[in-house]
Amino acid sequence: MVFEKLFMKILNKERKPKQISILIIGLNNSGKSTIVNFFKNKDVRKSVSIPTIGFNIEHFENQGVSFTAYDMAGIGRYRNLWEHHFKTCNGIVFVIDSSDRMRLVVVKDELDLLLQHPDLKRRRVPILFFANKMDCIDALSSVKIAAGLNLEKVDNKPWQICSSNALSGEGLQNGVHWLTSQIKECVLTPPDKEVYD
Amino acid sequence: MSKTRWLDALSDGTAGLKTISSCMSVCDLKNDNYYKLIAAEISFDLEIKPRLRVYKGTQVVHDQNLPGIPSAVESLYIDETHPKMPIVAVSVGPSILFYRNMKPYFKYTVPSLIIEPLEMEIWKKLVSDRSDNYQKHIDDLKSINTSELSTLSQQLITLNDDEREFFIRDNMEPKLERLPTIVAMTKIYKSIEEEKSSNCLIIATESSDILIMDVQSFNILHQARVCNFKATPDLLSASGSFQNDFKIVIATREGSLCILRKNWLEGREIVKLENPATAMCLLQIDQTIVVLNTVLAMTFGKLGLEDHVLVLVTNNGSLLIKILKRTAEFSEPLSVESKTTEDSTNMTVAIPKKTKIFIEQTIREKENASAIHNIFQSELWRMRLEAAKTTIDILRTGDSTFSGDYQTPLKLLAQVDGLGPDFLLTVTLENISATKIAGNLSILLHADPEHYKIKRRYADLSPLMPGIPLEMDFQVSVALTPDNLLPSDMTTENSIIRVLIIKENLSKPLIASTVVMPQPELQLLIT
Ligand SMILES: Nc1nc2c(ncn2[C@@H]2O[C@H](COP(=O)(O)OP(=O)(O)O)[C@@H](O)[C@H]2O)c(=O)[nH]1
Ligand SMILES: [Mg+2]
Repeated sequence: MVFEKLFMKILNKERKPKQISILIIGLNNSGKSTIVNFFKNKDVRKSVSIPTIGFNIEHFENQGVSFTAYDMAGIGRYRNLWEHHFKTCNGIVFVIDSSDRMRLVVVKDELDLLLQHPDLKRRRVPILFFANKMDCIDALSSVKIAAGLNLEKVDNKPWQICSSNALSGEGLQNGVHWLTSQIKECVLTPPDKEVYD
Repeated sequence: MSKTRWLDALSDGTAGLKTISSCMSVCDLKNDNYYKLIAAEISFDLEIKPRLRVYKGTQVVHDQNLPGIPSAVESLYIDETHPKMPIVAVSVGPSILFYRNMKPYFKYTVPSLIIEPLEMEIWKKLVSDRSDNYQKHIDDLKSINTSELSTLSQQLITLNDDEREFFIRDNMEPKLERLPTIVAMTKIYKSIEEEKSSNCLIIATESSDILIMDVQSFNILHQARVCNFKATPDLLSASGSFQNDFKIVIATREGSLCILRKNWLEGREIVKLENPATAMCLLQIDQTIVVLNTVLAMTFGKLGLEDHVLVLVTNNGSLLIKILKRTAEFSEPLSVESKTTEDSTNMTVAIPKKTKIFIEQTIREKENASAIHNIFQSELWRMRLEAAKTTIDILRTGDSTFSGDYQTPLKLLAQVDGLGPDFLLTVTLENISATKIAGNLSILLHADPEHYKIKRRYADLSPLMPGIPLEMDFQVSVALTPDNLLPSDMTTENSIIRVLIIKENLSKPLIASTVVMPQPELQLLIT
């Protein structure tokens, strides 16, 4: 799988393998689990899925890369579950259901909260947006979503938006390719002052 | 805390939707957890047929004609079978059309009201008499109050001379029916009070009847009058289940609010408003939402995958969807929480030394982790269940022992001691706000002076500190007749005392609660 190979390349260049962690977030039903499944290898080392009281966490580790996926559940006290990763994550995958036009404002609200979060505000963490469910007839284009979310205002973090279909895998590789190259840059270049270690 | 608690999901000025609140309903129509809005489009242009539409978010995904102007739309579950597919009920005139998968499958018509014997008499004469005598019979018909005439007679008296003859000839075997128009509908649960459990439909008619229907068999389970005087229902709101207990609040066109409970044959007036209510909603949010146009209709509930959505339709046909922010807080944040996270990262935490007990406990926890976790989880669920039960109990029993005002949250408890005719009424008032003092309050006891003598019926209250209950005693005596008998018109039902908590400069009481007084034990008085 392309994902792992790319990560292996990054990791091989480093003497001491460093734990890379990627946070996959988005509203419920946006397609996170489907995306995670697509990337999971058959011989995934650790795979936990805890669908409990109102929120979902999925976690798996592969070749030193840890993936954690969270549903952005509304209830206040669960928020710090994913916010807790902001400090340390090396990359963020933000999954959007492009066919749920009504909730685009909720996505924007969550994204703004994320960008304003003190642990993330000044960190240069690459964000990959998946405009998922591109196969749906009423799906908004990635350009429209970028405009709706005001992405051009995000200037202190590298970002990219890719249309995807998590069911067929279309678009996923492209996006992840971009993310890995960004992480590679961030990991290999000496961390800037703001990065916590 | 941000200023607004609402996200504007959509302001579609082109929706062209004209409707009223009672003609909107939100439900999980396809059982895919994506809640949709069902709305009847009522055009003010009589040429255009009303339509029944389904909106997914803001897009119309279904659109069909309705046979007449609807008065209410309701979505219901008819049984407990899976998958859970709701049906849609639309009232048009005296009938209700039931839709399954948005296809009509049943039409129910409310039973006819009684026809005046005089009217039947007149029709007997009409169909047998010569046309020269029609005028006399029609004048007789006109002597009956128009609203008490059958539809057929109502039509007849509006016709001109030459049309009458044909009309009567067409109706030689007249079917005299007086079908009351359905003015409002709502629903309660049948027995299990859970989302997506089966419902009963509540129907209010122009003739002031409230019908409770089993939507599986279409049988009327219970029928009651709105009130003991003339009151035409206008808006309905209900809670509870048919089997356990339920409460129906009816706003009438005459401006009263009536309440109807299980087993009652007649509703009771609880409030008389100066003007009839225009909308009834169970929302209590301190925020004002500014909408540029007049709001015609609104509904609140689940929509799409969001739990708290307000849907507004304005008079220019715009559809506004407002989603409650997930981070919206409805209580003031405590000022001590203003420390920033940057500060906390520099703080060192004093970690105590590991004691033997601590280590032993850790080992125990390690060994029995899953058991401890399971016990904790089950206790947690039990506690949640208890909390939910208590909440439901409070909602069911308390008419309004909680203040609805967000600025001054109060809780009221009342207790009656004594055997009578002298009672001691103890009122406990508690400020349940976390931080705010509640000041400028007064208490007023109100009862029929023919029934009760209250020594002190009004008192100004000292400011209430949060969490410290204030207890007040009031002496209440039954106003006995000179020969020590109960007032003649006193019944168990009107043995009540109203307790009102009033705030200065507020025209509406914060709490209006009714205390049901026990019947005095008069035998004890005589012996
Ligand atoms: N048509 C379509 N459906 C998708 C796509 N991605 C996910 N889904 C479906 O959307 C639903 C929610 O996906 P899931 O991965 O569970 O979302 P999560 O809540 O974010 O984990 C499932 O029924 C998926 O099959 C996509 O790209 N296209
Ligand atoms: Mg999931």
